[in-house]
Amino acid sequence: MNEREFASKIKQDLNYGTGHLKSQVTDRLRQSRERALEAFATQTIRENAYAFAGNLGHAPLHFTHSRKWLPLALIPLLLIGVIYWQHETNHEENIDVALLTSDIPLNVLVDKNFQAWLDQSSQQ
Amino acid sequence: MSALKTFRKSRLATQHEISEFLKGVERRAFKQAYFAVRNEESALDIVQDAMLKLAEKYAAKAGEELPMLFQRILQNTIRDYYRRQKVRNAWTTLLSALTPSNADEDFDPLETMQPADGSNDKNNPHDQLDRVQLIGLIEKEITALPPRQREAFLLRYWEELDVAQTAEVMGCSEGSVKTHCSRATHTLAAALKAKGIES
Repeated sequence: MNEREFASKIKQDLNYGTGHLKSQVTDRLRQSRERALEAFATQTIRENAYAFAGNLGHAPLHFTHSRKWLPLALIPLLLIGVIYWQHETNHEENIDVALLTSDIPLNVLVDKNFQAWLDQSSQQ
Repeated sequence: MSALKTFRKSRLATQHEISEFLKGVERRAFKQAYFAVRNEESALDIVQDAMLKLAEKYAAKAGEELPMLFQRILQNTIRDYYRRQKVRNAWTTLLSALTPSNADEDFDPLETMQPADGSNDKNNPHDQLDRVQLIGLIEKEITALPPRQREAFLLRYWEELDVAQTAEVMGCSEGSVKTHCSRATHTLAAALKAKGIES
């Protein structure tokens, strides 16, 4: 009898043995399996949530990838926001300077009659 | 059907797959752990740890990878148990080296087995008893094998991994796996022959 044939006989006997384990052992094994399946379900829900948030219903992307690239994708958006904010601030400052340095007295700008005359003139 | 629905459907199928896989492997896993640690509660804990690790950390793996992954996790969990025991019992090991060990004499694999109930077995009670006793002897001899030989033999011939897969799980060369298997087979055959069991 060669090694494989001998091992095959041993395997048959070992399998017979696993078919006759005590009920306490088989019960514990079943409980362990159920706990593992619960953990698997929790993990699956978590990964689905990440995939959905990362791809908004498109092909699933593993959450570790989106977690790695998301901060990099936010950097250009942040830069655009800063540039826009600076541009708006400069624009308002330029208007203020123009008003203060013009020949028109500041009292005219707060006069309601002047505003009404300005509107009327622009309509004509 | 949206991509997300397809994705969810495939995940559910995998859950069924993992359930069936664990159901098929759990008893052999328990026996493997039991042969290694010789303690029923510890063996059950090891199998539970291995199942949880597989479910939590490798949920995204394909079904065909499960046997290899599970065996690797199981063997690593058994090694972790050895390491913890080694640290915990460092001082008792020193003391036990001064006194003869009788751990092997206390261990009886028959304790984990129940006699067949006979409902699906056509053998008569005498044959069943003979077989249970024979299996008890085989399990005792497997337990007595050096750990690496036992690991290689069980992975290769009980879990039916090929030589390359066994080598990967054990973290050794294919040549070492063949050597371990060959030595384990010869040791087992000689031990059983010495007890009057001809292979």
